[in-house]
Amino acid sequence: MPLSLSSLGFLVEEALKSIRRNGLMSLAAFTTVTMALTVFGGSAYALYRVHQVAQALPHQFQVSAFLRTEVSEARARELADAIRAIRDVATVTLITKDQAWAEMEREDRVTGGHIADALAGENPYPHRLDIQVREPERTAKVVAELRGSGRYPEIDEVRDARDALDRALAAARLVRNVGGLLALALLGATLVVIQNTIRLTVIARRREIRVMQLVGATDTFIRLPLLLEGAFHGVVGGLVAAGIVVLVARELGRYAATVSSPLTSMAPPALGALTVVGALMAIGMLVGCVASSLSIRRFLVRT
Amino acid sequence: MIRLVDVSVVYPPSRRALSGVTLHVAPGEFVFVVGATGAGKSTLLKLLYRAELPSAGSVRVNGVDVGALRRHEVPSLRRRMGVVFQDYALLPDRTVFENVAFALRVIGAGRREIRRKVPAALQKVALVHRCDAYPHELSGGEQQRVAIARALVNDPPLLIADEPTGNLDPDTSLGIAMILDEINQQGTTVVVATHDRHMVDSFPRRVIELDRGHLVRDDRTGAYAVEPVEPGLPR
Repeated sequence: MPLSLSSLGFLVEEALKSIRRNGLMSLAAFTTVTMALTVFGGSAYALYRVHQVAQALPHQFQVSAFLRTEVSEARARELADAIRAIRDVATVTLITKDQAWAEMEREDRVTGGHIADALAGENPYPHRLDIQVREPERTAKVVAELRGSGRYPEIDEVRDARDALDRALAAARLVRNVGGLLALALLGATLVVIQNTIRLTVIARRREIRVMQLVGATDTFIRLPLLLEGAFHGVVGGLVAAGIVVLVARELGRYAATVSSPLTSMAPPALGALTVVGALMAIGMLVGCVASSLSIRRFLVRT
Repeated sequence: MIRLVDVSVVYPPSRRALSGVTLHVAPGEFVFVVGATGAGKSTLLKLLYRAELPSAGSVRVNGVDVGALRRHEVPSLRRRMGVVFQDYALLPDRTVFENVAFALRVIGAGRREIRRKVPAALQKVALVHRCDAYPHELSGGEQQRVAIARALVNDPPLLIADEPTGNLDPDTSLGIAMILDEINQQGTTVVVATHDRHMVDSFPRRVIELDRGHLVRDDRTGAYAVEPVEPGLPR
């Protein structure tokens, strides 16, 4: 049966009346939902950020091939072209010894070091090839090709960050698994909290529900105000929780920006506040509706 | 209007509330169902508004086989009857008007219909002047009249009352009985379960008596009980 406008108005009115009437209980429900969703949202958001950074990490790793000092720049260019032709290699950038010197001087200026002075103007750097691999997992293969095939005798040394990469990938997996389980458990707890609150409301309103049933209200009609009530607790709790999560994330982000580290500089941009608010409100509403629906179903089946 | 054929109700594990009850109530009739506590009066009424299902036999109300109704079909059965209880079942935080309007609102009635029907129903129980009062501001008799107005507001062809005067003094009970009688005069079928001897004897109507789940008497113009005949005295 489609709901008329006046019925819809009545249902909303009933839900609001019930929230007002059970003021203290509503406050308790709303506070608990807010806390549960803050913990859930905060963990989920942190998990998302860590996962996002971990995903971005492998792409930051590259292989550096240092050429023998006697290799000429022209030969280095030919070598760069040859390595570019390897299947798993995405890009090859030649850093000439002059460029490497300039790089060092730049770093010296930033760090206040005196390497350039110590070297007394003599450039000890060889030419270097910075190689980006298509898939992080293929790094080992490319390194083996460069080192062991004997095809590149001009290469003096190959350096890769495989250890760091392996650690980053393992950390990402751990965060995903443990964090995922934690987030699910928190979501379950939120559901139970809302369900209990709505059950109390249902018990408080059993007289009303009995009258509704006797005068011929459909189960849907009886259920809707309670569903709205559950959704309301969820939405408001989600909104406040999102506010807390966004504020905390912003403050942490500001702090992280002041600490210069490779991790913070390579972090992709964070989710917008609106996305977090929308997501937590939607999750809150969904959890609220499901919890209400479970409490009412048990009650309606019994009567 | 109401037809019960060989109806039995057994509560688990094996308490028999009704045994082989067969009866027929025609449209427009007024019937008292009497009997001691535990005789099966309330069970019989619950069968009519489908708060109870028969363990055996068939129950038909307004031509509908109540026992065969599916859950989602029950509301439409209940919209064609009004039910009144001993405890009035009023909502304490709503005014008289809102209590009566509640029955219309939950079945999706519009505001205009509510404004038209609620005062008319309150008129029938002479309570229009108390429409802004809350239940706790009313006497027991007035509360029961509000419950009757709520049961009638949807113009049902059948009114069921389960011990409507159970909490009321004899004079107030008679007032309630008079209102039920007036409602019946206007064509509504009325079934009242009661053990209020005074009310039944004051309004000689059809009396159905139950005893431990059995229908033991169906008296067209009955009194609450058949007086035992003492030997040597004329009845």
